[in-house]
Amino acid sequence: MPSAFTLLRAWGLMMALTGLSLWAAISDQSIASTLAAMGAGVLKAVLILWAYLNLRRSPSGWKAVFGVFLIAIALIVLGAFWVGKIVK
Amino acid sequence: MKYDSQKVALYYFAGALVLFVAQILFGLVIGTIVVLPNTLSELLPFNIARMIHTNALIVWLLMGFFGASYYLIPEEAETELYSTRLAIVQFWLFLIGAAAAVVGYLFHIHEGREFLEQPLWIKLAIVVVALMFLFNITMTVLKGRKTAITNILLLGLWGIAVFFLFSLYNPANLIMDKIFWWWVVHLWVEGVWELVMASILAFLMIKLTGVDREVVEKWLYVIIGLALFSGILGTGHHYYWIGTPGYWQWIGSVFSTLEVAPFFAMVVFTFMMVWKGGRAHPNKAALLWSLGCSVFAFFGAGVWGFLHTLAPVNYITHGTQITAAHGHLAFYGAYVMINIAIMTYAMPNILKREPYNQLLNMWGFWITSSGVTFMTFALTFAGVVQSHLQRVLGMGFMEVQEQLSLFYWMRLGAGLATFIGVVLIVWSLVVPGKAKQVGRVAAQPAE
Amino acid sequence: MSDDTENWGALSELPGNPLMWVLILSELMVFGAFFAAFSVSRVLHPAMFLADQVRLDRLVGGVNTMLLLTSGLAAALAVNARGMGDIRRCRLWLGGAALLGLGFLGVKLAEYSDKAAQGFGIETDTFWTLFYLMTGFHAAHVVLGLVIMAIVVWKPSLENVETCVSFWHMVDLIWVLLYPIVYLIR
Ligand code: HEM
Ligand code: HEM
Ligand SMILES: [Fe+2]
Repeated sequence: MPSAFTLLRAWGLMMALTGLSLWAAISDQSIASTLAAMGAGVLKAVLILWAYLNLRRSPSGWKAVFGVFLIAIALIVLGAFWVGKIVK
Repeated sequence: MKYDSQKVALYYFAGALVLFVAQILFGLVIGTIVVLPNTLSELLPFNIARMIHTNALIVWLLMGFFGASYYLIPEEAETELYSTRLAIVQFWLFLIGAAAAVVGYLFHIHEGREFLEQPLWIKLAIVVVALMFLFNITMTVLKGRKTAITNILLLGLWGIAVFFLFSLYNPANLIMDKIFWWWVVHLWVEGVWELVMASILAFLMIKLTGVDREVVEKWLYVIIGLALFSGILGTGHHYYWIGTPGYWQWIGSVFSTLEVAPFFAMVVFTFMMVWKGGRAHPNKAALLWSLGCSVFAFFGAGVWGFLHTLAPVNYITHGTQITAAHGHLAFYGAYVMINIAIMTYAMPNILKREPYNQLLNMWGFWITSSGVTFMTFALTFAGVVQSHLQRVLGMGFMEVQEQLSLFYWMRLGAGLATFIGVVLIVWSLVVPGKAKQVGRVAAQPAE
Repeated sequence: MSDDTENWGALSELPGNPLMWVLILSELMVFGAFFAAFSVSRVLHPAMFLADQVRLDRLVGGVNTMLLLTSGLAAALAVNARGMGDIRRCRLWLGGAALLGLGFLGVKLAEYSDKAAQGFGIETDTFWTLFYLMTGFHAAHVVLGLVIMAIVVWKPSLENVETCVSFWHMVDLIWVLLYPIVYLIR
């Protein structure tokens, strides 16, 4: 089980990431803020898996499954965003 | 076979096989009417013969499930059936009810909703028969051992009865009518019937491969978990164009796509078990049917289902021959094959013989499966052409039908092959000939 | 149903009951499909999505993200407490997690009623259909998570706690992806 400190650190990081992506989104609408928002989302997802669910210790197969899932989502979302920009 | 009362399954298997042949014969009749429209036009109109084709299918599949339950539940629960007499009475009632329905159909006594054309009193009789059956097997399980297989089989069978009740509800509002019609039709084949199929398959895997019960049960839980998760909201794929709100297009598309998962899991399951088990069971034909069942169900339900399940695709293909292609391969792969699998396994045990007519049975497997596969492809091509001409180019329905006649002839040809295969299957099951008798002990391979 | 979490192959490697993981993985597929559907729809209807998306309050979404993340922390601490055999503290943490979950639902409801008052319903257009479906499905899982939590507070075996908390973390995980996709990226 992860120590309370590990959990707290993950929590703090995720709160900060949430604030950051919110600030980036509100302050401008550039590609950078999009990348920040999606990047922060994926990073938070990784932290939930890594610390909250303690999957650090799980076999590499599972890490691959979740990794592929998150990467696929990020690629689809950002890919669609990018296509949307080009078409426009 | 350990328990005498398991023999009662024989009634049901025999009844099912007779109706199987009848179903196929009526299939040939309607297949012929489609290409030669004047065939029997006065005596037996297309709609009546079609009704007998589809109703006979459902009834014999259910009869097979009843038989399978009567065979499998005493063995799993390790106790005699609660009442053999009740099971026999139930059989005759069911058979007579079905016959009465068919005679009624011939005199044009029927209701209007596809698959649920039975007059009200027949529907009520079906409910009574179902209650007799459920009472009998539930009491058996309650007094015996409870296993994952009996629990899930019971859940599925009770579900079949509960959802059938919606056939009694026939609201005047056409949208509501359709909504609840699918609660029977869809929630049967993509819900509770799947539980029955998976539990029979699990039983067969334990018997045929010798893999530990613990392993098989875990697979069973995963499979039915996936089936229920996807299948219930998957009903949405029938709510696209019947007047329901547009969000069903999203719900139906997403969840029904996932319905492929349990069928895929069943393929992996059966092959893993055979590979791990490594035991050479003498009943090779039963194993062939079990493996064939998971594979054909995956293609018929999974692949051919997915083919037209996304709303934008279904917008074009809805109600075309694509649907008929899928209906045939899915029903054959999932439910015809699971029935033949359990019969092929159980009949020699009930008759206390070594597995008999294995080669003939396997020929039946290959010929029937080839026939249905060819029918499916013919109808799929017909459906693609039909979708294009009718839905994309906007040609009239009858005009398009003329363009499809080649495919309909091919379907009839393949249907004839199917019929020959079915005769072989039935023959191989019901005519054991001089197959060697075996003693009680040898007939019961260790679990 | 068998209680043991062993011999489930790869599923045994994950915390809690393996059947819960079958559910969780299925949920991930469903939400993954919805995320893809949302993104593709935006490409197909850029003007509609732009016009509708500005109606969403990013701050409200952000507050809800923080509520869920904090609730997740409490849930993880509940597992820790249970692991150390401290059932009382485990229950307290679970209670805290549940309260924060309720807070999330409260915010969500306020948001829905605000949107409804402005005349945006599930059938308004594709954007709103997807918005209500995705956030609605997610909220339904929050409700389900709360129900499971109530059961686990009542019967807090280690396996139960782990099973419940695994589900709860998945609800978080879906939200932290949903939030940028639906609220932030424009
Ligand atoms: C063993 C399982 C299944 C059986 C026996 C089965 C059988 C059928 C039948 C007979 C119909 C025609 C109903 C009618 O009269 O309109 C039908 C329709 C349909 N099935 Fe299945 N099915 C199965 C599984 C699936 C699965 C897994 C999917 C999706 C992945 C699927 C997708 C569809 C769709 C979309 C329709 C509607 C077609 C239309 O719009 O005309 N089916 N199915
Ligand atoms: C195991 C074998 C068979 C099964 C499971 C089966 C099943 C079905 C089902 C479920 C339907 C309703 C389809 C729908 O609503 O879309 C149907 C209709 C039909 N079947 Fe079969 N059938 C089988 C064999 C045959 C054979 C051998 C023929 C003969 C050529 C045949 C010809 C037809 C025809 C012509 C229809 C009506 C299609 C329409 O309305 O356009 N079937 N069958
Ligand atoms: Fe369906």
